[in-house]
Amino acid sequence: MKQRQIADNILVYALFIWMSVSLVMMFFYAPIESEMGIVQKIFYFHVPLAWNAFLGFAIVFFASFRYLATRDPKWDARALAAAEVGVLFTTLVLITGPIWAKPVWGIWWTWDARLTLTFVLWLIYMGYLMLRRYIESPERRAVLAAVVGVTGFVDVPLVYFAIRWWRTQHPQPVIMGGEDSGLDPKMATTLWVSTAAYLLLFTVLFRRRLALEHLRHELDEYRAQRDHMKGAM
Amino acid sequence: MTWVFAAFAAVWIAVFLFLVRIGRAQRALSEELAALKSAKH
Repeated sequence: MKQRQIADNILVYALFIWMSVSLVMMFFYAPIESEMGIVQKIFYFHVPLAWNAFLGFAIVFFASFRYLATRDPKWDARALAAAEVGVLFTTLVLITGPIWAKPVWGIWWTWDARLTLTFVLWLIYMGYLMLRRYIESPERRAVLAAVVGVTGFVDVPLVYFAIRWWRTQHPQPVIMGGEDSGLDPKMATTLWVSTAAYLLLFTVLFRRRLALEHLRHELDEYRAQRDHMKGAM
Repeated sequence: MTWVFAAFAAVWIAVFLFLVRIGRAQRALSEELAALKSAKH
């Protein structure tokens, strides 16, 4: 328990330092984009948030799969924690994207493939969290949630490849996007530093949420013991 | 700059609210657990 606390503290300090470095790089190291101007800086947290949301849903997929195979509740708890942080990050992607789009495109939103599929992704995992709230039985809840966690992941590669497969209003890929794509080396370095900072943020939030789930599990065990003792009397 | 600030503020407000929610739930569960433990002993 104490080791976990120390690890959490180290992670929070690392997050603070790394996030500060990424902010400094964002404003003072990365050049200002010639067409979009300063508003392009949103890219340095919009993209890392999206990539880390994908990571969250990949964890949901893996943990749900493991739960269905083993029926071990620890995998269900991991899936839930990752889904909540993934939904938080996707919500922020859907907020920061339109804030960037308004000054650049002149509109907040358009129903193109990338944007629509991201919204569908958010709906899928919101549905996953709502499903968990409305099912009383813990086993049934975990099994149904795991099925949604595995099948819902189908949308993640669709979101990723949408800008490669279809013509979209959303900008074309600048990382691994083919011959015509690319990013200024200073911009690319800033993007990777920022991605690492948001990975740390994801880790801190995931661990906190998971600790809450462990506490809930411990409480459930105590409640069961109490009810058992009451029944025996 | 206003757009960048608005987007960045949205991120940190949401993270803060998420942490507050977890903190409140954690406190409520810890109190209930402590009450159960003391009742047991």
